[in-house]
Amino acid sequence: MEQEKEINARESIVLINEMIERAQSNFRKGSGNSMIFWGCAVSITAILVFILLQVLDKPYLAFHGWWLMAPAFVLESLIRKKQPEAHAKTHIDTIISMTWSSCLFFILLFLAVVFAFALILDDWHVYLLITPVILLALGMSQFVTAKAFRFRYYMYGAMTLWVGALLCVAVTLLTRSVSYQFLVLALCMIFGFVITGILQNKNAAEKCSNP
Amino acid sequence: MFEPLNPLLHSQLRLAIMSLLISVEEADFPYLKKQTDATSGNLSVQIDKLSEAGYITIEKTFRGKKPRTICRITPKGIKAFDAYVQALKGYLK
Repeated sequence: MEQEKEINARESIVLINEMIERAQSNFRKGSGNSMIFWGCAVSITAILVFILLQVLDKPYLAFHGWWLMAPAFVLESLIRKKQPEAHAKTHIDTIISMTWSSCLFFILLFLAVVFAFALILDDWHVYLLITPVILLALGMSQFVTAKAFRFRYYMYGAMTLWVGALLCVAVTLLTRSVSYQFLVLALCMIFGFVITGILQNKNAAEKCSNP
Repeated sequence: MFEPLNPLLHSQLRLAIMSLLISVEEADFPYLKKQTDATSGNLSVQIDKLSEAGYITIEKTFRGKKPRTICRITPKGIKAFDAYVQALKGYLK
């Protein structure tokens, strides 16, 4: 594009429209990486916790497996910093980022409330709520993302997570055990996060090659 | 009687930059370069002109060890862009 090229009024309007359209279709290559990373991290940890629940003499120690999420946060932020792509932040990006941040705060506060009640009531049954409620919260954030980006695979991801929450109730009823909830969680993260992230990357790569 | 078009905005590259920045909260230099297909030199000069006019702000930061230039449109820039579009409408009637 030349800096001082003469343009008429119609060309100006065409140029403005073209640039606004380009900015609005702000899908970047690798934009699904974060979703793939978290899908893999949570599903691997959930399977690990499930196995530990079966093999440990003191099954409650299995829940310490979730501490693996702490290094996962550090690793993810390091990966994000290394992304060299040209970047623009749209208003929708900010809303989506805030939605996922509030989801994370909700989950952390919810865990604190559940553990507090478990201590106060001296009853482990409240732990049964953890996985389904987390799946509901993740599904809600996924739903907002789907609507904002108009990307239907996010909608399928949200539905997978919500169905997973109901499935947690079903497996708990059938098995009378909390452990199978972790298998449901692992499956939901694979179908709701990993596959959705892969499809998002594929979609972004197509859009970047055919702008 | 046609309203005169703002000469600072009535240039292909500067108008492209402003149109991109009005649609986003912020954009970095490589993004603007990629979307406008401009050379780094041209883009840099035009960004400076828009900044001198107070239409955009330029923030120089670092991402890791790499320098990063982030551009944002200012309220003055939004007003000027809006006035430019209103004036354009008169030409198209």
